[in-house]
Amino acid sequence: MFKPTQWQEKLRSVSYVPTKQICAVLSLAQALEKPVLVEGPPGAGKTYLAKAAASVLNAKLVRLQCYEGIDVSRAIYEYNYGKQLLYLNALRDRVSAMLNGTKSMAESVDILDREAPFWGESFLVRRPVLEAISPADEKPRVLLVDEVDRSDREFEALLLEVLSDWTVSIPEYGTVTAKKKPLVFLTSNRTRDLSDALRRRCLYLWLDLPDRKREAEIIMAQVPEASPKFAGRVADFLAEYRNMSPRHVPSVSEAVELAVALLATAGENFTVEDVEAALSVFAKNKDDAKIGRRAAEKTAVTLVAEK
Amino acid sequence: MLKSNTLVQSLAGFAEYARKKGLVLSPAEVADGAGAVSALAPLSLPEMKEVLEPCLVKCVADRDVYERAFDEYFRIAREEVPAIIAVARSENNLRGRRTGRKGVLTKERPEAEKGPENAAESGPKEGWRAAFGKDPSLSEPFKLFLSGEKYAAAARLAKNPLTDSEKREIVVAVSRLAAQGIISKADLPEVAAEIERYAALASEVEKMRSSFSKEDRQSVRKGVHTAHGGAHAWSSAADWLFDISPEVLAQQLEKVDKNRLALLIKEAERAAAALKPLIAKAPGSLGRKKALDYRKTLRASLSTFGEPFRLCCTAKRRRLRRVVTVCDVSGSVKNVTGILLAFLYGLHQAFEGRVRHFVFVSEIDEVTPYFSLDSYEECFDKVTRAAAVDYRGYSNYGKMLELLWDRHRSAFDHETLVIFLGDARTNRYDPKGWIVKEISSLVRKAFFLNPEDPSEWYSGDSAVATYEKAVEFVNVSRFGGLVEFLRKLPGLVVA
Repeated sequence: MFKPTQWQEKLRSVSYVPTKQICAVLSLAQALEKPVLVEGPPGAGKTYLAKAAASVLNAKLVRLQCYEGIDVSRAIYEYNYGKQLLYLNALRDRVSAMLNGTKSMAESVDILDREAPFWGESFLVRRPVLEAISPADEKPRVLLVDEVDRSDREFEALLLEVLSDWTVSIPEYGTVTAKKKPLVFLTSNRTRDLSDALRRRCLYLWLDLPDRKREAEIIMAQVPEASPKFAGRVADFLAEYRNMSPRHVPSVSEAVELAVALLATAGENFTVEDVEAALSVFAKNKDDAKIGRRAAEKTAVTLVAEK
Repeated sequence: MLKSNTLVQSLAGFAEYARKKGLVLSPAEVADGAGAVSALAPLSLPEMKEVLEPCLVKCVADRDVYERAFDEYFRIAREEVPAIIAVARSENNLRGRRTGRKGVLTKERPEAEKGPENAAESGPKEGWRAAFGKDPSLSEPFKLFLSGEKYAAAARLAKNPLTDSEKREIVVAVSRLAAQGIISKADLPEVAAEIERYAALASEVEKMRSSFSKEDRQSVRKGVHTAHGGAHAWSSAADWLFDISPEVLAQQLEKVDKNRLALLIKEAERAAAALKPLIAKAPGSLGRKKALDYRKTLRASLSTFGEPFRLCCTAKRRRLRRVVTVCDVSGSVKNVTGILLAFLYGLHQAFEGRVRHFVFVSEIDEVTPYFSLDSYEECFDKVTRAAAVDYRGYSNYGKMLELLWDRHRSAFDHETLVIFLGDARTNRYDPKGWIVKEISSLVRKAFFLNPEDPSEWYSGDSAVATYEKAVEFVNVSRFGGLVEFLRKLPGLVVA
């Protein structure tokens, strides 16, 4: 288990700038062996947090992207029915030979159950959740259940057993228990309200878009060539832009892309025109482009006034 | 650091307090909180607040409730914490008075703080302490203070503040002991200093207590619960709305003053907070009718080449209808608009973008974007100042309807619920009733909330008689009428 201060150092070493709350939650998730439900506006860095945590723990990230209609066969496990039928066909003679001499149906079924491993490991397709709970190579895993709010209530119910007991019950196979509990992240954009049952099995983390100071640190962490002054100017511009309520609020990754674009095209001392040229990075419609121009002009005026 | 049994008791007590404040906490979550505190060992209250938050707060809406409950509980309700702070502050203040600067330590320790090593020197002085300790007329906190147990004294004072009669008793006791010769003339300055220190401590404790707001004390005493979490039927969950005093329900909305308006807006916000979970997740989803899902059936069956053929059913998807509000912001109707919009502001997110708000006097403007602002105060400020309407003009319902129909016809469809709010007084302009009829024919249901007294509805320039042919009028002249309408709203909005 890492303490919060250790998480702080290790996340920064993989270019993720965490808040104190993030570090505390990650530490608690390890200590209490509970999953983390991360909610926040789109683009706040929820998915990236899981990736960074996997990197810190030297674990393989197993990602389950949720969508409406996702079910157990896509998320947890499935049997390879096609393979089962093929094998059954191919081994028909062998099976007949095996069942030769049996006196009753019950005896035949009993032999098939014992000898024919059609519900065994070789026909079991491990989907992300099962892969995270019981990885084939026994190396640590971090499970990311991304955008769980896109799935439906029935799918949430499927996750409850895993999230509380770290087991998966497969009727044909048995109960699979996690030998080493993975770190689990569930992310949600709050397009719908998640059930209380799911929430109460998780630690909760609200991840909002970063403030100016943190955004500047993120830009410096992700764009090594960026100076503190440059990063600060980009963060100031984005804060002003977000304040003007654009329809598409730029995400953290778009902030980094903007910084890279400005650094590549204009360098440290970018002007209003340079920002206008880079509008396509973060302004995704006509109205937002106008807002972007206004924000750039306002930030430039503020900068001149400060000087 | 709190000891483990004290920690568990503190957390259990906090959980009980937080539940009264509206935070739904299960015993498992409290146990997680205890585990979290044990694992991360926070060294201060702010750290403990951060450590407990992931375990006890399960949605962003609960964060404010949690923070308030934590601050109140650990600042005031637990005697140890304010007692410690009060003792530290009073000592700091007293040191400051001696040196002339607050917080500056003197080289010389004051006599009263001299430890047991000086007990022999202060033999005769201890006589008056012991005498005070035995005096039955003196209060327990004072005796504890004199015996050196400042924190215990402060904790007692937090529960039972120093009263005037207790002050009188102390003075009487001093006189009595002086008369008996137990307190000599030489002792008097020290006795006075001790009493001054005790008074300073009592004052600090009282400051901590009084910063606990009156309203919060009342709500703690009442033990008000909000209807958070769980699936309730509309009527039983919304029943809490009737946990409003009859006096408030009878309040006439047109004549409400500023203070009363603030109270009513707060009640509306409370109502929205209670109903929000119910709109976000409609009750009874488990009991919803299930229909055969052809796609799922085919997918499930194809994987086994149709043997067996598994029928898959899914419950009918919850659907939120669209809501359009058209509110008058002129004159006295503006107050009623404020209350209705406060309610809708609280539910804005639950509507998942399927709500549009318009305000008018004679011009009409859409104000939906303002509902994404951080606070309702900001939102209402914009609605009543920044919309493109002629705030100082005269209501002209006909013109408003014409503009609404021309510019925003797309807002109305068969899944829309329309709520008009106004007194339907057209100032002798053409009411254009046909537009209301057209809108009503397009939408699922249209209501007209009228805050005017029903006895006035058909008088003067009122267009109620024209509009009521197309829409259902609702009497919201009193707060109870508005509450009754809001109670039904979730049932109308969720399909």
